[in-house]
Amino acid sequence: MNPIIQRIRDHIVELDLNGAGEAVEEALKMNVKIEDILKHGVGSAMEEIGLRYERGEYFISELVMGGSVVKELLGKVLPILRQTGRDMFRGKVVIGTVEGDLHDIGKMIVTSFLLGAGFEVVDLGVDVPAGRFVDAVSEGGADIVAMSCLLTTTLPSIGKTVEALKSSGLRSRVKVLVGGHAVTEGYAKEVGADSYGADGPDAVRKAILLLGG
Amino acid sequence: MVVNEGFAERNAERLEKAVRHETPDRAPVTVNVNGPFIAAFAGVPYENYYKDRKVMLECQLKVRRRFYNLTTVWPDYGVALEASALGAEIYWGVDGTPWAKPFIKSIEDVEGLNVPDPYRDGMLPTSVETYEYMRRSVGEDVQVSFCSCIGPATLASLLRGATEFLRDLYLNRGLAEKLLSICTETSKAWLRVQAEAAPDINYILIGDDMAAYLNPKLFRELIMPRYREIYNSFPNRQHWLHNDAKASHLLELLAESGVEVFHIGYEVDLVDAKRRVGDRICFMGNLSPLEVLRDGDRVKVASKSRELIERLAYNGGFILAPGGYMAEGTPPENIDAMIETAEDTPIPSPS
Repeated sequence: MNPIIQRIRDHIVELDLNGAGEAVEEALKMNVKIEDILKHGVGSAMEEIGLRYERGEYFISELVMGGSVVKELLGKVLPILRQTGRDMFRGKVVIGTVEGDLHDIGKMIVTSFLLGAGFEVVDLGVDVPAGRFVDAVSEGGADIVAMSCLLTTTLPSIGKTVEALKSSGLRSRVKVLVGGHAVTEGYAKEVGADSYGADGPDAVRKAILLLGG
Repeated sequence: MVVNEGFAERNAERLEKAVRHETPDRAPVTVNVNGPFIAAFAGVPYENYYKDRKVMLECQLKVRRRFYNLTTVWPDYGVALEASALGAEIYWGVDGTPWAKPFIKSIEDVEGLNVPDPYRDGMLPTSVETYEYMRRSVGEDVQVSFCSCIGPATLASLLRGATEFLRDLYLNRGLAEKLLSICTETSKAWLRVQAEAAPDINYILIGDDMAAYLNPKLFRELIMPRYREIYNSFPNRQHWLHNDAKASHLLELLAESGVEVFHIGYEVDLVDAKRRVGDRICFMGNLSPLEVLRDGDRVKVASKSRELIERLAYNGGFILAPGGYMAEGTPPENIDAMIETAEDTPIPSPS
């Protein structure tokens, strides 16, 4: 692996925001291909963070900080990629925490794993009404609508959003992925979602499967 | 039906025995409920439940009567109380439950944050008034619980936003610690008011799900000393903790923090937990509130309850309960199955 890519990867895995930022700046000055920075630097680092989480070596605090590092790096890299006009995303995800629920951690973690895995992500934030999911899909297009829900009291908001996608004629054009503390695999099926993600790494695996692997 | 008159009293004795790590004749059981379950059970919109103390009390008493006097009554304002006193706006969600809107936009703003006066700030005085109202209304036979606080990690997250707070721990540790200290002082001040108002309660409860999101090093350095500080301020009470997130990685540290009774989440392997710290912590849990209690049937609930009792109840240190709070829509007969199994299942000697 190119040593500068290796450095980017290592700094992200070690949650070193400044070190990772400097390494990316250096790589850009060296005209390293952005695709390589994203795939072998950022993507590989998020895979390693996910593995460490699954092995019990990293915890939510590390997932959030790792996600923050990645988000910041992508802020530097993606505008340049967009200027080149190249589209290297494996799919587009519109994500949000459902209406009535202000929890952001699960959504933030899933977002950073999706970004690391090469998805384009439109993050609608928290407390997102069904209509905003519909508008985002209708205006910008999407392959997947991902919804996070931590409160059992706001579970009905998932069903409302699925229904709103149906009634606006968009349901057949997108896959629906759901997760969060209040959601079970059974509930996901019951409410008409296509898949359920148990955590960040699992959500990425499911998103990839939803788009045909 | 094996539950009969005097069950609540017998159960309370069993609970005290279990907390002392002695083997009771049967495993004690608790029906852990909060606003959403209670309001839904009583058929009342959540908002009416939270905003009208008369409705709140009536709903809580209805649940208490239905479940053999196992549940308590208390001023229930969700997680928003302490945050409101520190300056957060209360957000009444579409579902009608109160939540606090994070308002500390920059961690530097912590410099201007002060410990609130529980008799003056936010919704805390409302909670005191509701306690007094409940106390007057229910008479001496019903205990009114008034002894809980939101723990420092969760309160800091409510004020700052969870993601931002976790980032602060890495990027601006000094101010993040200051925020945690203000939250801890707030918890202590609020608990002192409750302890003075309700001297008949023999425990204090910290609710702190967010703490489980921290790695062991951060927990040891930042949260453990603050739990000790809170618990040590109330040396004559039992020290309870509610955290229904995945907290397996913190069990030894929680024991060191002084936790005596732990209402623990359903995702934690309780057999492993008891092996590791069962001599110091009494576990309350941990049937899955969704997959077993809400979505299962009586047979499934009884089978899972029996399994927990048979594996965990010997030598005390175990209270059968949901691993979290009962979800709204949980069938009452499933709760009955949990209670009846506790009353019906002998505690075997360990093999």
